[in-house]
Formats: sequence, C-alpha cells, structure tokens
Amino acid sequence: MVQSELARPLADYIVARTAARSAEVVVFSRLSGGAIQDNFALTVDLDGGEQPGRQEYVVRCDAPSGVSVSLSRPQEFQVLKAAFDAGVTVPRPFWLCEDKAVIGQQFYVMSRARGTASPPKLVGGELTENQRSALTRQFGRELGRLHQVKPPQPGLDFLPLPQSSPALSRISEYRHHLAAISEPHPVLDWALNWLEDHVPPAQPPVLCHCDFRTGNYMVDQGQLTAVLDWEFATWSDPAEDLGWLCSRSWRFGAPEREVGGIGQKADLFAGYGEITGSEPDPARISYWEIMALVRWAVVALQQAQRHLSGEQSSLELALTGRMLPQMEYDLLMQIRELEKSP
Amino acid sequence: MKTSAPEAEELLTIARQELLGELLPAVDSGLKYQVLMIANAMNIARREITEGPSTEQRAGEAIKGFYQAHAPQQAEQADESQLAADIRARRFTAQGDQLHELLLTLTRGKLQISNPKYARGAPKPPA
Repeated sequence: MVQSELARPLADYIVARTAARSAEVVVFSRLSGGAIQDNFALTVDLDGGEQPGRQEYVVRCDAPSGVSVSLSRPQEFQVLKAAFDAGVTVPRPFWLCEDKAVIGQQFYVMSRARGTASPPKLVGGELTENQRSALTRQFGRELGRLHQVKPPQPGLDFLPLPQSSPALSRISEYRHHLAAISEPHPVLDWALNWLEDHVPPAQPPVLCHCDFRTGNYMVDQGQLTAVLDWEFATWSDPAEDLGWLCSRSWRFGAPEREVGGIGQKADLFAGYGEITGSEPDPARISYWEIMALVRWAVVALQQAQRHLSGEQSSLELALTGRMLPQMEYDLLMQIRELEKSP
Repeated sequence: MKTSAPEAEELLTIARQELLGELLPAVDSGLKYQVLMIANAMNIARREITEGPSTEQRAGEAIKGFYQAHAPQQAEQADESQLAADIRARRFTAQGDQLHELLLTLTRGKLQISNPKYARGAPKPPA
C-alpha cells in the first residue's frame, strides 16, 4: 500500500483494539525508516472505548524489502514488553499485529515519546551541566533496570543464550566477518588479539539492549522519555551495554564527555549502582569499550560492502566505510592507554 | 595525454565550494545532511588524488622497513595483507611497541585522506 493509504486501516485497527466507536486521523507521517523497518507517527482522536480522546502512537513495521539479521517485529515487541515490565523508560507497547492483511506488513503499535533523539542537539548544547549529569545518572538507572531481566524469561525464548563467554562469542563473530572481506585491516586483527588475551571472567548473561547510545534515546526538556531501537537486544554480559554507551565512537564531537557525549562515567556508574546494588567495574567497562570500537568497525565495513556489492547503492553507506581509520586510530590509542595504566 | 586544466583536484575543489556556498543555503533542511555528505565525499576524493600515491608509498616503505628489521625473508613481498595475516598468526609478539608504531603510522596515513582533523584530537565544534 502507498503510505497515505495506511492511516485508515491502522486507525480502524486501533478502534477494534480499544473498543472505540470511531477514530479520526489527525496526524500520519513517516518518522524514520531504513532498509529493515519503518516508523510512522499516528495521532488519532478516539471516540469512547478504553483510550478515549487524542492519542499519539508510533506504528513500527517491516520495510517492504526487509531482510534482517536482527529481531523480527514480533520478537522486538516481546523485548519491548519485557523492558517495559522491568521499569525501563520505553514507549509503552500496546498491540502486535501479525496479520499482514491489515497494512501488508506485520507491525506493532506503541506510545509516542516526546522530545528529540538528535545527537547534534543533545551533545551540541541544548542541555545544561546539571541536566547532563542527571541524564547520565538516569542512563545508569535504565541499564540497571534492564539488566535485572535474566534468562529464562517466558516470551523471550527466541533469544539465544551465549554458548561460552559473550566476549569470546563476539570475538569469534568479528573474526569471521573480517575473513569475508578481502581488504586487510591489520589494526582490527591486532585489536581482536588483544581482546582475546584480556577476556574478563564472564558474568551471568542478562537482557542487553546492544545498541544503547546517543541517537537511540529521546530527551524532552532534559528528561529521558524513551529508549528506542530494540532490534539488537539479546542475552549478554551487562558490561557490553555500558561499554557501548561509553564508546569513543558515540560522543558526537564531545570526546571529553565519556558517556555518549553527554556526561561522565562517575554519574553513569552511580545510577547503575543505585538500582543493582553495586557499581560496575571500570576495567570491565574499558574492555567492552574496546570491543565496541571493533564491533562498530566491523559493522561499518559491512555497511560499505552493501554499497560496494550493489545491494544498496548509498553515499551514506559508502562514507561509513571510509570511517574505518577513525575506529582504528581510537583502538590503537585506547589499548595503549589501558596497557600503560596500572 | 595531458588533460586540460582545471584538473581533477581543482574541479573537485571548486565544485564543492559551490555546493556548500550556493546550494546548501538554498535546499530544504531535510536535504542539508545529504549535501554535507556529498561535500565530504568530494573532499576525501580530492585528498585521495593529491595525497593518495605518496601516502601509499610511505605505507609500503614503513611495512617493508618493519619486515626488514624483524622478518627479513618476507620483506620483499611484505604488504598490508601479509601484515594482517602475520598478526592473526600471532607473529611479532616480541615486537609489541614497534608493531604498534607501524600500525599507528599506517592509520595516520589513512586518516590524512579520510579525516585529517580526527587525529589532531581537537573536539569538533557542536553542529
């Protein structure tokens, strides 16, 4: 269906779910989309039923050409529910529709969060120092709550449990991806050796977001309103989420602000400790920051491959491939720093 | 055959200048990011033309110099692929510092072309 034709079937779907008498579509527009999924803003005025009045939703569905190595929409919906039930600040998941007859794709409906997810706005100066500190502490609390979710969980049995340590699984996965690319990356090979040689003792796996970084959460007037984009969630070492959030790659021009270009680790760790009872071990987080650099480098190489192979001609994908020297530089500098510190 | 002036480097320079000077202010905000990406791509291409060959030569010399010092039998054919394979095979474990220095030299060379400001460490101004 053409985009503009989706609004009415979606509104009717919501009428049925909420037992409203009718719905008037006020807003329907694409929020963002990619190769794999589409997000639409849908605002309706509902007459009666369980959610009377003006309601703001987001409809998230598969893109028409969606081929994905991440979670399907139904799986993502289950993860979102688990996070919501654990008290993580996420859009409220309402309904999952697996019937493609409605709009031609599977989709789910969730509440729409206010604010912005834009890294330039968040990192660049909209927030005061106090807001940054509070927000960074809040990140810690959110991850702390998420990491209370441990396997097994009814409804999440599609998530694979790590075979050995999550770190070793990742290392093996990245070596495998590198081997498939003919262009040499000796720095990545070198960094993977280091990661292999310094694996910390494994922690029991918990539910991890696996892409929690600036760009994937929304902030409205200094307050976190939603953690988004749960498609990579899986059971893993909790330090993976903290390391990814602190990675140099996601500081968007503010490298001195260790946590997502927003704040400092002390606040992040304090927030995490408030919820879990103990603050993270800084050395473990540093390890997973290195892992995060390698992971992003490998993903960037794969994105460049999508362009080079002709699968998806895109300047953005092509330029992403040219970012490799940045990650390689960060790896060389950070690993040396870690080796030199006591 | 010598091409007519202006050559590739100059064409990219002036084209990018007009893209940023004339087009960027005139496009919808939704297209600005794409224009900036195009400008970036043109900059990378320009630096590749002007500095690519010398950077590659320096990289090759650095690799050969390293191999001459630590694995002379392979020095003749040594290149980045050989280096990567040897690293995977855990060779050069006794030459940690020298290997690090070599990798940093190679990486700085690549950064000179793809993003020269990055290695200088100065935080970029907020967008």
